[in-house]
Amino acid sequence: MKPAIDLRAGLVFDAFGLGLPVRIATAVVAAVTVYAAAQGTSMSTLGTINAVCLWACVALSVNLVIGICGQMNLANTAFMGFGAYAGVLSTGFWHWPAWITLTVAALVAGVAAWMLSAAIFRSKGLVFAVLTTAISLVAYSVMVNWSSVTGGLGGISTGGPLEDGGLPGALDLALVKINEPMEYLVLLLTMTAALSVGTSILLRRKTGRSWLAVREDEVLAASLGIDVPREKRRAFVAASMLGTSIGLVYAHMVAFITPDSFTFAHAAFAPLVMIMIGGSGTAVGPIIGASIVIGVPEALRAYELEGLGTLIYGCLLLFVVLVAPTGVAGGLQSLARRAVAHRRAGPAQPSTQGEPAAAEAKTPTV
Amino acid sequence: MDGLLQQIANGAVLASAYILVAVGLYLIFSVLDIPNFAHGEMFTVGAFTQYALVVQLGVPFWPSLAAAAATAAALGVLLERTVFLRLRAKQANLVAFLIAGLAVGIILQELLRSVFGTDALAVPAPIEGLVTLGPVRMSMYRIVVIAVSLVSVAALGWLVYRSTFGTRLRALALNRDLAALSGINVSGVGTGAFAIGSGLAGLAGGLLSATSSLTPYIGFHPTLVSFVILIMVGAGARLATVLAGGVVMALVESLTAGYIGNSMREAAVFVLLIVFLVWRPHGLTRGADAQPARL
Amino acid sequence: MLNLRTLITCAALCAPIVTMAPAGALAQGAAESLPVAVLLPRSGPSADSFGGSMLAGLNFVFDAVNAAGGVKAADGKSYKIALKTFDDPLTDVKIAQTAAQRALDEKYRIIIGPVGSGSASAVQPQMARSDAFWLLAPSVVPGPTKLPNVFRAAPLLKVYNEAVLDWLKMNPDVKTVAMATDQTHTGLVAATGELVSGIEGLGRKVVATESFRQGDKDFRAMLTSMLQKRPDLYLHRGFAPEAALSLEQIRELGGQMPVMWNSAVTAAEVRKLVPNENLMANVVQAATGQSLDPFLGAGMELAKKVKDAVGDKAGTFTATGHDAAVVLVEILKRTKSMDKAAISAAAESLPASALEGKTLNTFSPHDDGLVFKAHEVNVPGTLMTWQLGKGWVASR
Repeated sequence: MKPAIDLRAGLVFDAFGLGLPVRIATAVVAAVTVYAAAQGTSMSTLGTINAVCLWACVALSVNLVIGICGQMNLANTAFMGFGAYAGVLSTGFWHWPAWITLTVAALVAGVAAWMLSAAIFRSKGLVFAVLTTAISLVAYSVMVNWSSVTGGLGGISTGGPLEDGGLPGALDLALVKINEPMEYLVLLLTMTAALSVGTSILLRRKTGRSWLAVREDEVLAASLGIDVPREKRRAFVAASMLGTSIGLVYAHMVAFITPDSFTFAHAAFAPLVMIMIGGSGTAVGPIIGASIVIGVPEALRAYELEGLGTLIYGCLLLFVVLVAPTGVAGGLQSLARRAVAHRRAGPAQPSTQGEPAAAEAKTPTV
Repeated sequence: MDGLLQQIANGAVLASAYILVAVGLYLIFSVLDIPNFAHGEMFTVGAFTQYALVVQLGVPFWPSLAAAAATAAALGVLLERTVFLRLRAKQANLVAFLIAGLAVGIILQELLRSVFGTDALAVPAPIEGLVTLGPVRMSMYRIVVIAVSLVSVAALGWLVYRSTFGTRLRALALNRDLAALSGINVSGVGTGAFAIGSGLAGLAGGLLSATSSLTPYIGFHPTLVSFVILIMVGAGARLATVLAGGVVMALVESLTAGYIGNSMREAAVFVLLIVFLVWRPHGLTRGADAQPARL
Repeated sequence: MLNLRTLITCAALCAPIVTMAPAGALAQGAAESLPVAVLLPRSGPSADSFGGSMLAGLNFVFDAVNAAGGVKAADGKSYKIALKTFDDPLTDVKIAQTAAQRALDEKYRIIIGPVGSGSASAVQPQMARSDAFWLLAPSVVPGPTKLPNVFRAAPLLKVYNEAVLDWLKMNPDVKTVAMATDQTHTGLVAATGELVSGIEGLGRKVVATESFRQGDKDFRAMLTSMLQKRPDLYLHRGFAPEAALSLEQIRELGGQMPVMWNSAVTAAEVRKLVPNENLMANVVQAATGQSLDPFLGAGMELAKKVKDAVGDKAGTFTATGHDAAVVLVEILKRTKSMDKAAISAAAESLPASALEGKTLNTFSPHDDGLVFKAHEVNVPGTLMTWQLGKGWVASR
C-alpha cells in the first residue's frame, strides 16, 4: 500500500511539491526568459528589471528570518547599508577589488550579527520588532552624521570623490568585472535564482523545517527538542550576511549612494511588504512581491501618474493584509494543494480532504 | 545652569505631546491588545483638522481643538471597525498588524497630501506673549499646552481608575473573556477605549499645530516614540509609569539636541531603547498574568 | 521707357521674388519641433515648491519664444521648443537615475536639470555616457560641469558666502556669529568651511556651528545652547520652513539679534509660515536670485511681467527656471546643429551681451566677455532685508 507521505525525493514531485530537478530547471528557464526579454528593451526598463532582481534578492534574504523563522527582523538597513558603504569606499577610495571587500564585509556582518543576536533575541514579538527598527534608525543616523567617512547626506560614489567627476568603478569579482547594466542583469538573475532555489531546498531540510516550527509556536518547538535560540541566531546571521553582500552589489550597480537609499521605509519596511504581498515563507513569493512593489510605481511614473503611486501602494498593501495575508504565492499554493488533495483523495475518503485544508494555512512549499 | 533649566522647559512641551500620544496608544494596546501602528497618524489628522478649521474656515481655536480631537477619535473608531477588528478576528500575527498599520498610515498621508499639498503649514497660536520665570523664557501658549495636557491626563486618570467605565476598561485589559462573562459590553468598551486613545493623539496634534509646523509626515516619529515608551514601560504598567516614560523620552531628546548635537536627537531615543532592552529584555514591569512573553 | 521688352524684363525679375516670397514665409512658418527634457519633482514633498515654480519660469520663456515663431538657430531653421517633464521627486537617487535614463531612451538630446545636488551626482555617469547636452539648474554640486557636455545656468554656492561676507563688511559692530546648517542641503554643507574662514578672515568669530535636518520642527534645544554664547548674529542656512520656525523660536527664547537667512525664502512663503509679521523685523536674506522676490523688490519690469503671467505658480525657483530657459534659447540661436558637440561649442562661446535685458539675474561677463567660464556662470548673490508691510527689499 502506498504510504500517506512519500519521503523519497522524486524527479518531478517530491513530498513537498516539485522535485529539485524541476525547480532548478524552472529557475534557469525563467532567468533565461527574462534575459532574452531584456535584450530589446530601453535602458530605463533594463534598469527597472535590475532593481526588481536586486530587491527580490533582498526580500529573499530577509524572508529567511521573517517569513520562515517568523521573527520580525527590521534591522536590514544596518547590514545592507554597511555592505553598500564598505563597497563604495573600497572601490572608489581605497581601490580594493570588490571580492575582497565582499568576503571581509560578509564575515564582519556575520560576526556582528552573531554577537547582536545574543542580546536581541531575548526580546520577543513586538519588542523585538521595535528593537530592530531602532537598530535600523540608529544605523541611518550613523550614515548621516559620520560624514567624514560616509559623505553624509551628500552621498559617495564608486568613482571616487564627487568633485573629480569620475566614472563609476566596476564590481571586481576576481573572475569577472561587472560594469554594464546587462552584465549586472546576468549577475542579479543568477543571484535571484540561486537564492530562490536555495530557499526551496532549505524549506525541505531539517534546518528550514525547524525554523518553520519556531515560527508557528516557539514553546512547542522547544518541547520537540529544537534549539530555538540557536535556530533564530542562524537565521539572523544568514540573513545579515546575505543582506551585506547584496548591499555591496547594490552600491556598485547604482554607483552613487546616499543615506536616503537606506531609510527604514526603503530598506527595512519595503522588503517586508514584498514578502507579505508575494507570499511569506515561500521561495517564489519574495520575487513576486519585489516585482509588484518596484514595478508598479515605475510603471505609473512612466505613464505620468506618479501622484497616485504611493496611494495605490498603501491601498494594495492594506488589501493584501486584510484579504489575502498569505500573499500571491500563498494563494496559489492553497489552490494547488486543494486541487492535489481532491485528486489524491478520490471520492471515498473524506478524512484526507479535511487535513490539507487545516494544514494549508501556514506551511509553504514550492 | 540657566541653559539647563531652559532646556528642561523646552522639553516639557515635547513631553506633553509624547505623553498624550503614548497614553492613547497604551490605552488601545492594553485594553484591546491591538498594536496600532497608525496611531501617530491620529496626531497628524488632529493637527490638520485644526489647521483646516482655524486657518481655512476661521473657526476659533479652542472649539476647533475639540473638533480636532473628536475627528481623530471618529477616525480611530472607523479604523478599528474596518481594519483592526477584522485582523483580530482572523487571529492575525504581528506582521499583519504592523503592515496594516503602516499601510493605513501611508493612505492617510497621501490623502492629506492631496488635500493640503506638501508645503509646510502653520497655525497661529491663540495666545500671544512671553512669560519669564527666572532664567526660563517660554511663550504663554506653550505653558497653556503643558497645562491642557496635564489636565487631560488627570481627567483620563480619573476616568480609568475612578469611574465605572474605567473599571470596565481595566477589566477588559486584565482578562477579556472574563470581562465578557461578567456581562461587560466588551465590544462597546473596546471601541470606547480606541476612541479615547485616538482622541488624545488628535488633541496632541491640534495643540502642537500652533507651536510647530505641519506636513503630512509628522506622525511617524510620535508613533515610534510611543511604541518605545510602551515597550520600555512593559506590559503591566500603570498610567503613571507611561507618563514618566514620556517625560524621560522628551528630556533625552532635548538634552541630546542641546548638549551633544542637534542632529543626534532622534537617534538618542533609539540608542536609549537598545541599551535599555539589552539590560531588561521584557521592559520595566512585567504583566501579572502567567505569560510574560505576551508582548 | 515703358515698352514691351522692359515690361517682360521687369516681370522676369519680379516673378522669382513673387514666387519665392510665399515659399520664404512658408519656410519660416514651418518650424520644426525641438524636444527638450527637464528633470524636476512632479511628485513628492517638493513637487509644488521646487518643481512647479521652476516649470512656471521655464514655460513662460518657452511659450513666448514659440508664440513668436520659435528659436531661429544658426543652421537657418526655426525650432519650436517641446518641453517634457520627467519626474525626479528628490527622494531617491535611483528614481533620479531612472528618470534621466527614460529621457535618454526617448532620444532627448537637450536636458535641463537635475534640480537637486544628490540627483546631479547620481546622474553624473549617465551624463558622461550620453549624447545629450545638459544644462544644470539650480543644483550646485561641482562634479558634473567637469564634463564637456554639461553646463550650469545657476551660480555656485560661494555666491551665498560672498553675500554673507558683504553684509558683515557693512555691519562692523557684528563681532560674533552663530550658525546652523541644514545637513540635507549638500551644497551649503560643502560651503561651510569656506564661509567660516571668510568670516574669521574679516576678524569676526564663529561661536557655534550646529546642524539640523529638513523636516525638523523644534530648534529650541539647539538655539538655547547657542544663546548661551551671546552671538551678535544668528545665521540660518537652510530651507524656508525651518528658517521660519527657528526665527520664531529664537525670538521666543529671548534672542533679539539680527537673523540672517542663507536660502531663497520667497515673500509668499514668509507670509504663510510666519503669521506674526513683526517677527520679521531685523531679518536679512543673503541668497541668490532663485525666486522673483529680489527682482520684484527692485521694481524690475521683466519680473512684474513674469509674475503677472505666472500668478500663484511663482515660487522658490521661478527665476532660476526663467533664466535657464533664456540661456538655453540664446545658446540654441547660436548652434550650428542640434548635436551635443555643436550646442556645447555654442555655449562655450556665448557672449554676456546676448543675455542683457533678457534675464532676471545679471549674468556678468567673465574676463573674455563670455557667459561661461569652465561651464560656470558669473551671477552675483542678492542681499535683501524684510521691510514690514512691503516684503523683501534689496539692500545693496
